[in-house]
Amino acid sequence: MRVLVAAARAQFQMTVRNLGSDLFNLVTVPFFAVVFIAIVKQSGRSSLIGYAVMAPVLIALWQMAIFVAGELINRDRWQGLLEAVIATPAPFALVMLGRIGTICAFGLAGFAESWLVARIVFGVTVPIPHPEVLLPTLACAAFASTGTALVFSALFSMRESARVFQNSISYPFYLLGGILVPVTYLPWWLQPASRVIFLSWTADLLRDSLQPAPLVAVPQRLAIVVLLGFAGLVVGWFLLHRIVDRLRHEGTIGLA
Amino acid sequence: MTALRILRNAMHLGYVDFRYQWSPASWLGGWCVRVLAQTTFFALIGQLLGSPLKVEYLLIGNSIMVGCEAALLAVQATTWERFDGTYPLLVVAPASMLPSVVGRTSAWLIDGVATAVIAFYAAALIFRLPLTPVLALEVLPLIVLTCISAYCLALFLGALVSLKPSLRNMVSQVMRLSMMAICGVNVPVTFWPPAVQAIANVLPVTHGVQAVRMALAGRPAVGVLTSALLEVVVAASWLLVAVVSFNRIAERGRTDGSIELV
Repeated sequence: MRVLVAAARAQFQMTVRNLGSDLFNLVTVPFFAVVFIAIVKQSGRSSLIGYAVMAPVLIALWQMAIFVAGELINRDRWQGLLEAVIATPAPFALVMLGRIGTICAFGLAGFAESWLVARIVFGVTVPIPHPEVLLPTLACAAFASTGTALVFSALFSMRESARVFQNSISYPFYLLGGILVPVTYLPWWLQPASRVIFLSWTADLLRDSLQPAPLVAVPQRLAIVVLLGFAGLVVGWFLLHRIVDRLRHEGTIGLA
Repeated sequence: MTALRILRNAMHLGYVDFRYQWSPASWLGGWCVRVLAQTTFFALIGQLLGSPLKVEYLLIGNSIMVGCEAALLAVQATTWERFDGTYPLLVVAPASMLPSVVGRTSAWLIDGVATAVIAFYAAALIFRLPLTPVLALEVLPLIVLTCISAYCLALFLGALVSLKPSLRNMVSQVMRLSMMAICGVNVPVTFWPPAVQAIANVLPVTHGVQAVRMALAGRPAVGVLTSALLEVVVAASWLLVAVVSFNRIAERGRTDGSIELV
């Protein structure tokens, strides 16, 4: 736990001192919110504005996971930090977990941004009838995106060629994750794939938290988000240790 | 003649840049999948809204916009001369910088045109847009023109960010998303207040996408051509501004010795 907290604190300080680079993705959130809310408002479907407000929140989380957290190992390598981090007695994956978790937590600021865009740009106040669902959902989503980012940080560090997919996996996951349009709108044969992506469960919960109607099976749905995040964490942990073992064995920590 | 030779060599360099990032397999299996997913994502919003007209509107706008997005990568590519350490050499060379910059970044324009063409026709097939073979050919030059126009703006932005290369991604992304919001890609330009409409009218994409929409709706040719002509004017204006900016920035670097100090 001490390692986890220390890693999280160190990453917090690094991010705060490197706002332009680390939090760049949060700059795009208001623009996504403007685009989505404008589409819904122009169509006269005000009841769906909540959908348009929640989608940028998930985009923020995903982008922080893929573009910032996913790049951590490569960035450490370019800055000559990777050798030092691996040489410490603390488990490498635990250090990465603390750091990636901090970055993903910053992504939650996307909610405030999107909600404020609706309020300030469009004059729409989105009510939150179920804050008791919204807040745990956001926390679970941050955890799940941390697990996912751990996997991607391992994959992106394995091969340079894997990084070209960094720019390619955004919209396929937004589509499959149903971040704006529920997955029931997808063809039936794609829907099972959506259900193993934490975004789809999170998106449904976030949208439901804005509806006045009573919600069903919230603890179970939250548990699935956590479970998917945990699965990512286990896979990411395994991959990171395999990578570190290989780099140590080949003596290519700073060269790969 | 010298300019053409520089352009040719720089285009080869641009091709090498492009191949460093994409192989044919990763471009088709990664980029094209993303592009189709992006177009479908917006089309599904139209379905969520329960409006076939909105589906068509979003498909047309976003399939062309994805190509313009790729062309906007020229903003980042312009700054690579700084990172490679070749920018001062281009400034002190006796030839103009423009052929080398246009040549090196042209790969992203070609990428953008290919992206938009694939996205547009694939979306038309998947979502069954009312597109006859004649109409499909008619809109092709309009799609290409819209991507060229976005590229001209990217050249200007590239000149600006060459002064502050760390801003390259932010400038490119903010411009891309702003265009998606106000240039008639997702909602009509008239949805926005007059001041925003005025900005949209001098940005690329606005008139090009409108020309495509008018052609597809079977409007009179004069209306389509007027919109296309406006897009040409916008593209030419941004190209002119880009040329002036590149020359001014290079000249300023020569005058005050700040070529390498940004």
